[in-house]
Amino acid sequence: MDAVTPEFEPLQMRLLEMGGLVEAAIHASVGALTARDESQAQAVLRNEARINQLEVQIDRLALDLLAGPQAKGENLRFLTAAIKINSDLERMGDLAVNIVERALSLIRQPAVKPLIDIPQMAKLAESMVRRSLDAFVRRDPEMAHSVLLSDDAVDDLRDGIYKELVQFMHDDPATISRALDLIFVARNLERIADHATNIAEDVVFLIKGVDVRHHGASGADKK
Amino acid sequence: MPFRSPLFRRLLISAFLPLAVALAALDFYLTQFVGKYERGRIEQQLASEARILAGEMSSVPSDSLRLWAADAGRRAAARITFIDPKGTVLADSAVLPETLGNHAARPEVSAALSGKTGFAIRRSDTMDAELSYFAMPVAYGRPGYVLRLAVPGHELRTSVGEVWSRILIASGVAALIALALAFVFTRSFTRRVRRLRAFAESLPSQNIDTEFLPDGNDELGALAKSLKRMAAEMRDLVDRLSLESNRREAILASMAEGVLAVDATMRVTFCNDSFAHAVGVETPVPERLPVLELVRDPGFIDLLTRVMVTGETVRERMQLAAADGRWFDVQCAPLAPTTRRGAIAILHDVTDIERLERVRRDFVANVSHELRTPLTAIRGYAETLLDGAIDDQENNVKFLEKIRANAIRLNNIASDLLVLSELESGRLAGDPEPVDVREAVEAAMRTAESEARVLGVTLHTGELASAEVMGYRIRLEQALLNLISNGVKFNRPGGQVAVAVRRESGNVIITVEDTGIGIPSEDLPRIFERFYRVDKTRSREVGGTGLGLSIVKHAVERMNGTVEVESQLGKGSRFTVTLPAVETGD
Repeated sequence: MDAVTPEFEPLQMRLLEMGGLVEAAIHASVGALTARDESQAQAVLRNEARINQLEVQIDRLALDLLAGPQAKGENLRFLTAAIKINSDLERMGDLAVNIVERALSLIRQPAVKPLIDIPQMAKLAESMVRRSLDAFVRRDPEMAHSVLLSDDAVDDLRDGIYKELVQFMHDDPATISRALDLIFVARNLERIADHATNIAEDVVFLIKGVDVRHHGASGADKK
Repeated sequence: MPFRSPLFRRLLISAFLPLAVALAALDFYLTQFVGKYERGRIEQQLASEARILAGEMSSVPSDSLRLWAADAGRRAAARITFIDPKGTVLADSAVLPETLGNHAARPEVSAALSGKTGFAIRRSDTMDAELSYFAMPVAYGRPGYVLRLAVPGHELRTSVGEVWSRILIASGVAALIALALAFVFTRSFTRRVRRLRAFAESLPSQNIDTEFLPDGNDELGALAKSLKRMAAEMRDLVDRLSLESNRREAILASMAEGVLAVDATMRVTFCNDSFAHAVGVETPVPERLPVLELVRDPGFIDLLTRVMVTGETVRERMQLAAADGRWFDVQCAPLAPTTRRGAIAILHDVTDIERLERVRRDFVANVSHELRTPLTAIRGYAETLLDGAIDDQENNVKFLEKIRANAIRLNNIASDLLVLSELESGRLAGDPEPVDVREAVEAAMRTAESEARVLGVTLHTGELASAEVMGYRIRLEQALLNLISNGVKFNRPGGQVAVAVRRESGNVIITVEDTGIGIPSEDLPRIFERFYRVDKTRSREVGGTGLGLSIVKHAVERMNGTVEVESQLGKGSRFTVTLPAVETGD
């Protein structure tokens, strides 16, 4: 773990604090759904304000530093990465709130089916978020690459969920609204995974100065 | 340079300055004294000469006074002046008296005119030089006349100057010697003090060098000795403390519990291996690493902050995403009493306990739920029958059959629970005896056959090695039946269940493999728990009690065996029972 330039440390700390909150929000949003636990859902809604507040603080800090004398070279890469990671994290927080809204409606009705793929997908998405942030903290390009490689697995899971739920809706129209909610949950999880991928790409750029966007995982594999 | 040291400068000045002042004072006093003495000597000499000349002069006639004066002046090597009571010069050995004015105002003359002797050293306008004058009253026929002698003043100056210059040289030499001595002494003194200081400054460090300490019998030497003694004591103390702290650190480091200490700025001051391992970072963790770089979980960060603010010890159970979602009992206490406040967290991994507690919670919830469902059905059908349905010829028998089916279900659950508690408590009927595995497998297959036929699932037997294990025939049969029956129930029409027995390095390995729906990987660790159902609806539809696999696990464990499962969603599952074989000798 390389030390950050001291002036940039508050920025990194706030980003990590925000990352922790977003991770917890994602975990609780899916937990509310699978454990049918409304208290976890409420916790996510309570924390949203804090996440938004942090986003504003981080942006202000980053802009101040951008105007400062240290904003060059690696530091400049760090600042741009921080700004991007900030907005990715904030979006993930919103997506977790979306999941919670669906979960609150779902847990008041009987289950369409036992949830198997969605928790699995959530687990994978959570792990991607965690690894992308760990890669950021530890400046670990290998870990960032591992996130890029997981993205396809998330997409596969989402496709499976879509197919299965479409079948449910086809067989029993009474399940349509609940199945749609589940599809939205899957969609939000997939987008969370996409944002985690963005963070991982930013981390690779931050460390190596190489842009790995728009090449897919295979492009990122080449070193 | 020694002069740069203020102590050196001060010592040198204080040693040398008084001496210099004393020498200067002595010089001054001696010069004065010599001057006075010389003056007295000249006065006396002039006085005695004057007295002789006065005697001579009284017999000189007044017209030959000038000649006498010139002659006496030559003999006495002095200027001789004869002055009448009015101050008029009558004769002078150096100049013509007519050129001289009235001398009554001259200090020595005026003293002599008033009847005393006068002596003065002053500049003579006539001679244009400094002269020593001596005047005395003389009688020349009648009293009131004055005889004055003058010698050049430089005689006095020369003798005083000579004395003065010698004293000066002597005191200069003395001062130089004193300066040199002071310099040497002061330098050695300051050098010793400097060494003492260097030594005192090096005290906190480990490698203390006593070699260059000054010695000697004076106070500095005594100070050096006490410093040396102090250093030894200090080294002892430091050694003891570091030993102690090493021991504590070793204890903390080897603890199974994760230990993390942070300071008031939320930076890591200590982190043991268990903690680093739990959150997946390499040891050693860099000093003063922000704790957020290790753990981002807001719950954990909040806990640390809260404890630092309130100063109270808090115990909380939490799941840490940083530790792969494992559960911990976190005991967090303020680090007191220290100037820089911080907190220490001890993390006790309770993932297994948490899982057991969840099992227990689920069990209580499940057992009441499992019992209530058939009871509700029985009560409902009985009430319907009582409300008149008993006369409904079309349905009454159907309702009674439902009641019976649910009663059977209750019975199954009750007997499964009994079996389980029997297995768990270890109060099994009789002692273990050799059981023929092949016979047990075949008996279980026979029992499951009718159910398999109904569901359109084929039962296969692979290799059936003959083997014996120590155990309880009835429990082994039941365990195998439960596994085969599960394979049949959670299958699809046309599916298969294959059973095989083989021997491998002293063990009997029984595999039950199906081509069924499989088990999701996240459920695998829990399927052996009581009442745990992967798919609750389906499980109840097929008439399970939710206890089958639990019985399998306990039965196999009672016979010192293990049961494992591999499964692929949608493809099927394979259960592997491993039991220690009894050597039959064939």
